[in-house]
Amino acid sequence: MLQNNLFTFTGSSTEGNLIKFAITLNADSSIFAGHFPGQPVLPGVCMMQMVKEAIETHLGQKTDLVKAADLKFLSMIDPGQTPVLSLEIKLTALEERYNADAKLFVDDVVFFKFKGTFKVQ
Amino acid sequence: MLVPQEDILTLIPQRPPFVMISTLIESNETSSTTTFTIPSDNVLVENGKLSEAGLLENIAQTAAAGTGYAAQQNGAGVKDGYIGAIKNLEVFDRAKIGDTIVTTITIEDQIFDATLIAGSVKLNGQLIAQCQMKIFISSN
Repeated sequence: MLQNNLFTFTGSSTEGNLIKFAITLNADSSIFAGHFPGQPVLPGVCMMQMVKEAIETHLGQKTDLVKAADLKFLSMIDPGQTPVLSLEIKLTALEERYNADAKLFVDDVVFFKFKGTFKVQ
Repeated sequence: MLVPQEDILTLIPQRPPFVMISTLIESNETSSTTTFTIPSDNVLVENGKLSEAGLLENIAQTAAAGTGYAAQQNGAGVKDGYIGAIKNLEVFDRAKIGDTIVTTITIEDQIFDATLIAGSVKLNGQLIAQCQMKIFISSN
């Protein structure tokens, strides 16, 4: 949905159950024109969607987010100032579900933390 | 209805294509309710359904509309708002393009510029999503 519009995955790697993605934001995306006019900020809900789309890319399957106990938006992202982000997801399979513990960060600055459960469609 | 679709942008800081509410139907000191008819070209629609991100933004903008309505009643302007945290999100179902969802937020607590709300989204009277959210209102 947002991949290749708001952002692109520009790299990925897997270490055990830890999946890592490099993300480049598209500052020209129309979403930034509306959020907010003249003051582009990556919408928090789009950070969550990045986690979902990264998991779907990794699994090669569509998912539904069924539960999320805890999402923290720790710092705002201006796509002009911070166009490149790192995403790490610890993914634990449990039958048809996947528990994800994720963070979106640059070096030692964490922008977003996520704990939730996805179900394969 | 308190505020119809043609005036909804007077209540919230978000602008197209990132508008995730259609009308404000109720608002008081503790709760607000909006409707949202899901357009086919919405940026948070995937595979014909409003995504989980869309549901959450709809809840956040319902809270923003309530805050904006109160500000408007007091002759003040609309301020930018940001989601600080979301807890206990559950998604039971999702709405399709053309469906109208009805979303209610209840203010649970207000501490300085942070507002804690509980939000729930219904489709045809059935609960399809709920969560708690901490929202910060920008001071400028």
